[in-house]
Amino acid sequence: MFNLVIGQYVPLDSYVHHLDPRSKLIGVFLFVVIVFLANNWLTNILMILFCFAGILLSKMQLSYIYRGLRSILLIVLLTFVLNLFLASGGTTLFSWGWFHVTTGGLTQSVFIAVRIMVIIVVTTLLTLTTSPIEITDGMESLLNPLKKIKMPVHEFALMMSISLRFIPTLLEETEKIIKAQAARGSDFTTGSLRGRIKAIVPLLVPLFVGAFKRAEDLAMAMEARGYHGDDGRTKLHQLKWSWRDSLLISALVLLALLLIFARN
Amino acid sequence: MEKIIEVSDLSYRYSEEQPYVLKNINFTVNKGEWLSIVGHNGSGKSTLAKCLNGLILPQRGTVNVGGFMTSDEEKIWEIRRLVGMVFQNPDNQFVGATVQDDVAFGMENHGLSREIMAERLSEALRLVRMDQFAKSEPHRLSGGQKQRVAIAGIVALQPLIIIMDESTSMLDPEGRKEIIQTVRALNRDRHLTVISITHDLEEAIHSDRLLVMNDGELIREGKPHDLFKSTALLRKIGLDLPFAIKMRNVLRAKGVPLSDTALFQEELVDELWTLHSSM
Amino acid sequence: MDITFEHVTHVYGRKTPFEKLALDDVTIRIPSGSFTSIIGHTGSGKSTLVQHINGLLKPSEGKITVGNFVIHAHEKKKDFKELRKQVGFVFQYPEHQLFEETIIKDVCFGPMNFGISDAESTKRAEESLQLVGLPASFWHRSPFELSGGQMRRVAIAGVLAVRPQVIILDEPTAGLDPKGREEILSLFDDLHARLKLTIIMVTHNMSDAANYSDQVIVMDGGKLLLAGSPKHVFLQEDLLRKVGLDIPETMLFLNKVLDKAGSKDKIPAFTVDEAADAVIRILNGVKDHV
Ligand SMILES: Nc1ncnc2c1ncn2[C@@H]1O[C@H](COP(=O)(O)OP(=O)(O)OP(=O)(O)O)[C@@H](O)[C@H]1O
Ligand SMILES: Nc1ncnc2c1ncn2[C@@H]1O[C@H](COP(=O)(O)OP(=O)(O)OP(=O)(O)O)[C@@H](O)[C@H]1O
Ligand SMILES: [Mg+2]
Ligand SMILES: [Mg+2]
Repeated sequence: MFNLVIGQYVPLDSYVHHLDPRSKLIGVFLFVVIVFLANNWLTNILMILFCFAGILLSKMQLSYIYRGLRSILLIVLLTFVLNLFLASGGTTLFSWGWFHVTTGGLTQSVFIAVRIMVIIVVTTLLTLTTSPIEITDGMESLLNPLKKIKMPVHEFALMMSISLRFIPTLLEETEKIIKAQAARGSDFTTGSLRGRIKAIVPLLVPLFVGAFKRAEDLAMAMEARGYHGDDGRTKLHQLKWSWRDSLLISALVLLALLLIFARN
Repeated sequence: MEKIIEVSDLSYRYSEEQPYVLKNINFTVNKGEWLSIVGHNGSGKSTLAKCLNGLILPQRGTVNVGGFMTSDEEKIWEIRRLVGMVFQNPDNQFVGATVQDDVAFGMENHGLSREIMAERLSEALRLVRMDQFAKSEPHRLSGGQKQRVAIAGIVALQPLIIIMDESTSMLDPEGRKEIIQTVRALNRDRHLTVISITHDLEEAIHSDRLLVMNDGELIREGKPHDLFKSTALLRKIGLDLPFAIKMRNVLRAKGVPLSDTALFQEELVDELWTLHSSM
Repeated sequence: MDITFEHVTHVYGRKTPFEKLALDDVTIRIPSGSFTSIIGHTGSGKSTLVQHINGLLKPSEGKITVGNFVIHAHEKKKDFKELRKQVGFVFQYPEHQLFEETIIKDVCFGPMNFGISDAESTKRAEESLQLVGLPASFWHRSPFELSGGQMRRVAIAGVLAVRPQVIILDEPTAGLDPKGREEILSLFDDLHARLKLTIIMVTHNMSDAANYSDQVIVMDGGKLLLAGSPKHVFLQEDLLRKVGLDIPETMLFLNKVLDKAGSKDKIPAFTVDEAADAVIRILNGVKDHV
């Protein structure tokens, strides 16, 4: 249960793992834009090849990637079928009532399915190879210019990393409260909808009270350890942009150029 | 002896409508000593502790820490560096996503350079014997391990004083022992001044000095041996007694003519022995 | 209501990377009306064990009987309500489960869930609050305005109000000051003596286990290590130490006295009074020999 929620970071020693989170974030962003350039078989195959290269370089097992994909497979299938019937063009392959499946529709659906899949694969690869804290650090660093216009970038990043840190704690707490109220005869799983909604109150109130208490304690502890906002603060983790990162961005630019060249 | 904290005429209340929860407190802390503070629930121990690192500023009186006043806004961050504080709940003070991030948190706040941080980080973790766990996440650690990480975070700031506010009360006996041993070593080897708030009298009797709080007042102060000579007062304010004293009292009631000096079990055994061989 | 465990095994997170064998072939018997303490190192499976008694956890293997109620591994979904009415459970930090606007309403929560009428629930709630010693002037206040010790009493009253035959306590005194600890423990001791309730207490405090119980169960790494009377268990000092446990402080003190007298004896004395008598006996005994 924990792993589902915190993302599925798998610590390995690979090219992709050692990339700077900033280049990975920029890379995923670029990739998602580039994907929309693909509009024929050649360009789509190029996208797929690029994804496979990424997976190979991350030393990630295909089964992990598949696990990330599994949850959205149904959506992909649905869009595929919808597109199959809605898109038109080319010769008709098959008709049923007023549904027509055309060659144009078929290729169109395949392209859209591929597009969704590669986007999912790339973002899954990001969360598989980057710990939540690295992602937060990377975001903070990328959004740094926004501090000039008084955006609370540092506070936002800190909030995010603390929330991530407390997710397992709160899940454990939830489980404990569910058990304790179940022992007092409360029942969350059966009964009418109204009954179930009522049964959620004894769970939510203690959960909120506990979370507020925690937040209060945490604020006190942070202050005692000298926390006073962003100014004069240093960081243990320094993000280092290396040749690998430049290589990744160059590869993406190259991919974009190739796609522009090869699309029709 | 060099004084490191001086509290004079301190009074504090949480708001105007509420009564004072600390009343006219005066005491000093010597450099390098182990000072315990005992008292029943709600007697004001935690509030007092928060006055010592400026988390709370008293309405009346002053607190001087290592030459700085907690009321001096310019110096407050320096005071918080000098005075580390370990709280009760191991989970609610673990800020970082991993052990090393948490230890670094305080150093980051105080703007230390990365080289110094890296150096002190590994040293602090070694000191609390958590170096194997640098990359671990908090939910994979036991309560005692989390508290040791909190101590490492404080040690890394090279403080003068460490305050423990019931830091062992949520731990199992083994976790408790680990923490006490760790802090003892810091007190002995690094001459860190320790202020320990505790309900565990077996721990408190081993300190250099004891403060007894009752309803916001500091009612007794002294060396453990002197303080436990007369137990009537401590009983009256609802404090427990150390085991050796309970034993001593029962033995006396059964007619064994013991004195009222023994505080540790070993002392009591020795006294029983001398008494017995002279009979 | 006798409670028996027959070859009970519990595995957390089966078929995941976090799979953990928390109970390993445990067979025990807890007689009706007894006071049983469960001790063991952190992570030895104490909480896992007791959560099987009211169906909060289901066994992966084996069989559990509580009175007439039988729980088998590999059986279909079951309704545990009747069982939970008979078996009350006080968790560690039970005050974290309070949620109602007033204390009395919170205490009524249990009985009402088990289908007891409003009037009867209120009557039981009042009785329980009296039992835990919370003055009536508090009853209509919010439970969140109380001190830690008082909150814990309210939470315990909430369990008592269901009038269970068996009460399970998982480290009921954690985080309390010595006075609060003493009060909570004597409350349960009293309930055990007067109402003949079966009490099962998980504890890290050897003196409490020795002083209050008829039977002590020692867990180690998910396995049952020892079970028997406090005397039987605490005389096996070496074995206990091997699994990271201690003996009661009275016995530790007697060991020191016996050491001095050059004796290797072990004396099972658990109250200060018993220990003092033993000390006097030892001293006189030594004198007789000289
Ligand atoms: N944030 C607060 N706002 C208002 N009153 C408070 C607050 N914190 C504590 N108090 C009150 O101040 C008094 C002293 O509380 P404090 O927490 O210092 O006691 P303590 O000796 O640490 O007790 P314990 O042993 O339970 O930790 C108590 O009466 C308490 O109710
Ligand atoms: N919900 C859970 N999921 C996975 N593993 C668990 C879960 N609860 C407990 N465990 C594991 O099962 C083992 C036994 O845990 P249990 O809580 O029963 O121990 P315990 O004797 O009660 O310990 P403590 O003295 O710390 O309360 C431990 O190794 C623990 O990490
Ligand atoms: Mg306190
Ligand atoms: Mg437990």
